[in-house]
Amino acid sequence: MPVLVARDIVQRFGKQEVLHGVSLGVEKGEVLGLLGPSGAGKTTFVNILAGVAEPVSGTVDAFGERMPSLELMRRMGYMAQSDALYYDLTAAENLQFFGAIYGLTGAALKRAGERALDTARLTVDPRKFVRDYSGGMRRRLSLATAILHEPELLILDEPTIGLDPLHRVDIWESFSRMAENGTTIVVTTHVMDEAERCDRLAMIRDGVFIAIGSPRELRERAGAATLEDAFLHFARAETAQADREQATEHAAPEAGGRDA
Amino acid sequence: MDGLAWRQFKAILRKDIVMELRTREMVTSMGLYAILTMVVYQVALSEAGASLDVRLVMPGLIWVAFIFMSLLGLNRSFVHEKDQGCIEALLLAPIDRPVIFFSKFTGNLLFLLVVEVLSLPVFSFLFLQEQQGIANPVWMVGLVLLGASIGISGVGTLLATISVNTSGRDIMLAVLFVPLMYPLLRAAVGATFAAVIGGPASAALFWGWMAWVAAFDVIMLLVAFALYEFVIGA
Ligand SMILES: Nc1ncnc2c1ncn2[C@@H]1O[C@H](COP(=O)(O)OP(=O)(O)OP(=O)(O)O)[C@@H](O)[C@H]1O
Ligand SMILES: [Mg+2]
Repeated sequence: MPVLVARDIVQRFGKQEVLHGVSLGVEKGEVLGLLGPSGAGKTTFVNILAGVAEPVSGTVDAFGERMPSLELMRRMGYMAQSDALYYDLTAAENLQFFGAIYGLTGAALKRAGERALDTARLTVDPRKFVRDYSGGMRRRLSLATAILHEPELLILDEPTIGLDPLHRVDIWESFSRMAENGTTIVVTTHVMDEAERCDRLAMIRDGVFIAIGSPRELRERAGAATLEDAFLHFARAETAQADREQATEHAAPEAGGRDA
Repeated sequence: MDGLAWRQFKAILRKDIVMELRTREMVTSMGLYAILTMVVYQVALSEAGASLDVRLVMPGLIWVAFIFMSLLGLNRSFVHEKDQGCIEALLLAPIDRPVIFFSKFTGNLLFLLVVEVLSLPVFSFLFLQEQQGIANPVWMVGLVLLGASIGISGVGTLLATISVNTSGRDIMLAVLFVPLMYPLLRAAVGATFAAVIGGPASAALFWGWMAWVAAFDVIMLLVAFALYEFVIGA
């Protein structure tokens, strides 16, 4: 049974429809990548998966139960595109705070903090406030706070943005290790070499999934050498189909008019 | 409260206190406002001279200053939560919404009381002449301060939460704050007046007004408890 199932998710901001009824299932221990250009609706979608936002219509089930639910959220970790850190606290204080919120105390909290920092490949300066950290360090600290309570399902919105290639590779190795240990991971990215590391990819553009499958499958289906080319292929196919649909829509009322 | 809720309460309160000690954001802005108000009062009363017994207007002036000062300060109490998206992280944690309310409320109450307690001596120094003093024991003034501040920070915390999610942030708080505060303000002025002026009937008067203050606090806290889940998610 999938750990996470989203069905027909529609989201609107004002008049703009940002997600046009997207569906997705994620299996246990899988790293699922959401790949798409800026403004495609990745953040909007993962916010709904995590329970930060409610969709206009559609449902999300996690661990077989309907979201949002406080009980389920205990088993989920979410790293937002914004860092969700307190800038006037040190890294350790941030970890302590979020650990305490999840009910960790004393030695368990300390151990969890060390493990999380190790996974996020961050060494912290005990005196430095987060305000004075570099963007990449904040990103890694934000990841550490998200995995502190050892969630079974981890939702990450652009976890590696602002990171150098070395840390990026390290962190993706951490993801693979977590997934091997049974953690389910949904991660957004617009970097192709990261997408290549996912078990499965959902390519999103303008609020629709244009293709879902393993990186290899997608390349083969598109007959493309790289994921980038595959993305372009699926994007073009989608556009062509949308044009055809629009053309038939326009044609229909005219035909009706002539009959009358 | 079970163990987890209590730990969460302490964690949020502690975090707010540590951050306030570092930035002094709320205390400074409220303190500054209190000082500026006193300077303006000084000018406003400058022509009244010796003919005016300042004690007659002082309770009112004090509460006017405190109400506007808290309007300014409490509005900032969710700024750190909102700035980097921490509020979303908090809301995703398995934390009962009233716990968030009571911890933010307690922090706000503390900061408010600190500024009030610091500014009162300055206030009396500036306005009370040597022959004047507080007729009744000072603890009575302290009690009004505590009682009214509970109400102020409760309503303030509730409204600050609402305005985080509304685009017209400050306006929202300002528009609702004063009408909601009106009954409490009236009772606080009455009780302070009774404590400052004294006289034979003052004890009865004082406790009468204090009953209003207490009633306001209880109702406000119950309403906040019931509504917070809805308010914070809005
Ligand atoms: N709160 C909001 N109010 C109005 N419009 C919004 C809001 N959030 C997102 N949008 C719009 O929804 C669309 C998708 O945004 P979203 O943030 O989901 O994109 P994204 O794929 O995460 O992009 P990026 O890679 O830049 O993070 C954009 O057109 C954006 O302007
Ligand atoms: Mg995004």
